[in-house]
Amino acid sequence: MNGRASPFEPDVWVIEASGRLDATQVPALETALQEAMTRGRYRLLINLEQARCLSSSGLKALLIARREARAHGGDLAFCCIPPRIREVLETTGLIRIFAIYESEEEAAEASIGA
Amino acid sequence: MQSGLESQKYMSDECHITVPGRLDQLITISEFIAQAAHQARLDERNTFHIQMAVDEACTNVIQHAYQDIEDGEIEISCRYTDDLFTVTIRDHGHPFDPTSIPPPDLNADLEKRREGGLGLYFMRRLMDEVRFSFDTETGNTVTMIKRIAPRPTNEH
Repeated sequence: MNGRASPFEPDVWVIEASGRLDATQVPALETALQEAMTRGRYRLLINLEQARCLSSSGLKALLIARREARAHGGDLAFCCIPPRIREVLETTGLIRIFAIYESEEEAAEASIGA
Repeated sequence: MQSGLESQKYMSDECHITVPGRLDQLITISEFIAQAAHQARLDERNTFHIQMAVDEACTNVIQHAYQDIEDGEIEISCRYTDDLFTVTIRDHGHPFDPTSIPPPDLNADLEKRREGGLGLYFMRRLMDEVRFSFDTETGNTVTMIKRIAPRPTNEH
């Protein structure tokens, strides 16, 4: 999973979480999150544009990373959520526990974890 | 990866698949559910809900019931009528007691929950009915039901 600085706010680190974000992909997701935080990147934006699904295993890995990011003064937010993943988060009521932005640009304006 | 497909059989309103209880089979399982849902003429939303619920249930089987069992199998059946789509998932691993896992508190410390709790919560929210049973002969069985709104027959 690719990581890069946001073109709109260089202090925000974007992780492009693609494919099926279920238990199979959790190790790759955890690696990307840990690599970012090891480099002192605690303002994290998870771009879900290329994600096909997001299961409880993937969500849990993201929640654990968010706790660590917050402990270091940062935060973790989502952007570009495909409609069907958004719908599942709405149906399960989990949408309200995350900060969600339409685009990387909108997320930059909201200053994640700043 | 495709090892489960040979044992896949279709009948008019019922289909089955048996796959090894490994995480690399989740995609095969998801494709099987998509095919069954397509045969049942479910819409994309219902199909995705069932795929997600089955992914959660099978992940629980692999990570808990088959935690220390390498050659366990998962048997999945889909049955459908005009208004119900029923998925039955069976394993022969350690007995699973859903009452041992309290529902997650969405307002606090979700990431500290013991494993399985959030998955069970997904299953219950995405399906209309979720039931668990265990006996020493058939093992663990989880039955999940989605109620289907009737679709107009003349839709285009």
